[in-house]
Amino acid sequence: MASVTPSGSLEPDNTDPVRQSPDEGTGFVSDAEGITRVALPAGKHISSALAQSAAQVAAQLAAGKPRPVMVDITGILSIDREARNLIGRATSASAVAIVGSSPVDRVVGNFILGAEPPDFPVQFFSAAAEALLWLDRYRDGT
Amino acid sequence: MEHNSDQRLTQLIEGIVRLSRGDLASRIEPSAARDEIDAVIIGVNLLAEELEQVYDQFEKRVENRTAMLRQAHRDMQKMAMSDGLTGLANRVALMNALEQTLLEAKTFGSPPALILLDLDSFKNVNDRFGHDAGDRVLQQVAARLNGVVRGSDLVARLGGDEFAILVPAATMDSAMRVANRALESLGQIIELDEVHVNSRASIGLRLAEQNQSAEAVLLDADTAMYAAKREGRNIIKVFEPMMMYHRKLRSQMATELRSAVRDDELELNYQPVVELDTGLIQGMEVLVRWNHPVRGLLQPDTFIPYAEETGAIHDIDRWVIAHALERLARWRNELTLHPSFQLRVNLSAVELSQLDLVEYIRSLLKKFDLPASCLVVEITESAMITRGEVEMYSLLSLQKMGVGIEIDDFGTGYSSISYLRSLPVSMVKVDRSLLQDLEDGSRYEFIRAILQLIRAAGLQALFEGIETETQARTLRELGCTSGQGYFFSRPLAEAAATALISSTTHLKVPDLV
Repeated sequence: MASVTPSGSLEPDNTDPVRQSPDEGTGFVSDAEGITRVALPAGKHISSALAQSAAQVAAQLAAGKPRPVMVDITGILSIDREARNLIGRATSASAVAIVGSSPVDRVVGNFILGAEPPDFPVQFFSAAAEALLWLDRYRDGT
Repeated sequence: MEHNSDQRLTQLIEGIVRLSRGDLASRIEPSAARDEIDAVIIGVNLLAEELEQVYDQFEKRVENRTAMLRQAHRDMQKMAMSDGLTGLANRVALMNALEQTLLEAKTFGSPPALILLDLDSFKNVNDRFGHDAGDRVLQQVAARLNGVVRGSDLVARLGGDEFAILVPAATMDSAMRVANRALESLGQIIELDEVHVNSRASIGLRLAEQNQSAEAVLLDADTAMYAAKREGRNIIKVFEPMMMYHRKLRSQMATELRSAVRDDELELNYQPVVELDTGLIQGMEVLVRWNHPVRGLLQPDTFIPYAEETGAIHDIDRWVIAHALERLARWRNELTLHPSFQLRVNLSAVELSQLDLVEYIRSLLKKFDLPASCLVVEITESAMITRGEVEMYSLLSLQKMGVGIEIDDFGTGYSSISYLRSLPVSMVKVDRSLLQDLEDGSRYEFIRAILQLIRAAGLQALFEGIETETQARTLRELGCTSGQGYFFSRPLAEAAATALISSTTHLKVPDLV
């Protein structure tokens, strides 16, 4: 298993897939058995620049082959329009699960779902486990 | 906790009020609780952001569309203000600029001058070489005019072969210099591939007066230009008030002429054409008079030139030929005319260029049951000079039909006998001016030479203006067969003409010596 920071460097397989990235403000992208996990930074406003940076890392991880993506938005303050649209336009995703726990997360998550309709399935989940279960069917070879 | 919720709800309401007042940039601050109230706050914030961006995009789109509309308006304005063929300013642009310079003259004192140019004989270029060549000539003229003006002057094309130069803040001297340069540059032949065109122009110049309107300046310059055209072309005429008087007179004459035709104010006179040997009345030349309600009976030389200039000649020609043929038909029915009796009708150059002329004459001959051979059309030498396609078609068709064709006023134009031979003409009427001083020995030889030439070309000669017995006798001696003039008979009103040919078939001839 490898994890990638938004700066783009591949790290050794034995790193903790859910640890914070060196820069807490830019979120964290990791690979969890064929599923890309993107954790957006809690307490932050998600700008399009930040989303772009995360998308680039996710694309590197996918290496040209679309794969399921879980985007954890728990605790984010808000997300701007362009950033929301970026998720819908991701070419490296075969499906996207958006995960959040609070009522705020649910509202924000549904705004993301309401953005530009993507070519792949997108759904909101209030628990990561449910999301992973749903994404599992979109993994390569299944 | 309850109190805290109330406070946050109040905050939320105030935020919504701010948004509803149009402050779409305002946001409501959520708490750290991330509870339902925060969810509503975040939702409202996100909706506000959406709305703000949609508004923003909408504004930008309106801005873009407005800019496109303005550009389209500018393009259209440019198109509406310029001449498509030459790229020069058009009439609208010229008039706008003229108005502007007249306005400036009120403040600064120096009036503008307007120069109008009309190409001489441009119609011939289109007729002979086609409209493509005509267009290229116009483009060349535009380029030449642009080459002779100063930066502050404006060259415009008013339509057809009419151009204008606006000289702002002008003096008579400065305007004349521009006009002279234009005249000189147009005087040089335009060479387009195989086509060489003489592009000379008639030029009218008007130095505007204080408080004159743009329309008045244009009309004055136009009047001066027409004066230049009338006075021989390829010259510059500066506007004089007398020109306007003549113009109004002509315009009044044109209106009156049209109603003269409509109200049958025209009448026909008939002058016998006589065989010089025997005195046989070979036919009559039809001459038109205008019984003007105020000015009395007018001779053709007082109104035909105006009719030709204003286009009224077309209606007059048609009226004359229809009425003359109707008269001839009645004579043939009521009297015993000599079988060779012919009616001679004058046709203008304009008429000859009408595509339906041949059909018109054919239908009249049919209507009055007349043989084509009883009609001779008289055409002036100058009308033959242009020799356009339609003119030649008319002549050839008339000849084929059996109508006689005669060149009128021979000796006043520039046509040579060899040129006349190439036309479908059977007779030549020698102009009266050549008969003067016939008793003079050299003049006698001159007439003899002319007659020989005409005969050598296989044409018949007829002399007009025979006033004395000596003239009649001399012409007969020289071998001229036909003639007309006061010696035989003045032009006669219809009743007198009828009376004459009812009573006799011959007129007096000089005693044979």
